[in-house]
Amino acid sequence: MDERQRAAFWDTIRILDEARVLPYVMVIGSWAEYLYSYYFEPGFMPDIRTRDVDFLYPNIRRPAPPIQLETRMKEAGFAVDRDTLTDVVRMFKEDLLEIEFLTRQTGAGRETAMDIPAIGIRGQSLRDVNLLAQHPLPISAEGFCILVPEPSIYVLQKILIQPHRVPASKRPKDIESVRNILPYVLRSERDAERLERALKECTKKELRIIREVCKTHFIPLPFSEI
Amino acid sequence: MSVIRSVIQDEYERNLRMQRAYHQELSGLPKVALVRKRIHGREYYYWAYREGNRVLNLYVSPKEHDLDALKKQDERRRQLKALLRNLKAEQREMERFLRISAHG
Repeated sequence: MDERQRAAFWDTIRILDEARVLPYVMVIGSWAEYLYSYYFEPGFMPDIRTRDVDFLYPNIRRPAPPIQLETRMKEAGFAVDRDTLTDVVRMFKEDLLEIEFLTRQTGAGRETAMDIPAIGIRGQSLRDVNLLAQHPLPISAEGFCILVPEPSIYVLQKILIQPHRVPASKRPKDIESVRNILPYVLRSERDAERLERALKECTKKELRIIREVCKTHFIPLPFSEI
Repeated sequence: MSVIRSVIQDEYERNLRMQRAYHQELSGLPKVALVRKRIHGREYYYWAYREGNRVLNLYVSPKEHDLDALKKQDERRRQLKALLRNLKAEQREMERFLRISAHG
């Protein structure tokens, strides 16, 4: 990975930590895979990373009182872009990173954007991230404590969203991620046990999706549920 | 190939968003360059701009302007111009890749 990009990532983490926001966000997407290299046994190589760093904001009311994160990020040299249609905010660190805050979509609403009052930013809201938000794993890296999804749940979510993943062009990359992470999950007693427990909690419909995706892409899931 | 193509497509769209954000920020900064000249051991600042083939220098009086703020703005303007140059070059590379991979 580009050393400058890595430095920009840790710089972003430091700013969030100083702003007291870090304990309330979860790194998801390809940068979570980068953080798994601090968690898995040596030898784990994270997959292709893009420039977008996605921070999931599970509880939009924390921290209280609210923090004006946009101002802080601007002071730290980030450029801010606001979508003209949705008002969703994206922040850029030079030509290295794009920072985005995502929230959980709840209820029957179809709103694709939601205000995050705790940080004064409007973020994109997604339904598929609920599972990730329910299974946080704190990782200790470079002197910070950062939340990422449990690797077993990360893999499971990628499989579950595979049939309806939009845009469809991202589906092969998701499968590559599953292939990269799953062997490490199965090798770890703790993670394999978490995956088995999550599979037991899946509905019949979800199990059917998992079976189909695993069969189509030759993904081995050695559990009795599958 | 499809994995790489989807990543490049994603990065291409991101590149355009970055360029838009930096163009917007650039539009709020002075359009001309701030240049420093040393004359008889003393420093003077000028706005340098082009008019046809001629480069003109307009004296910036420290009594009328906050020189520190202008220097910071000028530095940011140069940074943004360099960033936009890099992003534009990257955009061309990605367009070439996407064109080739669409036919391959």
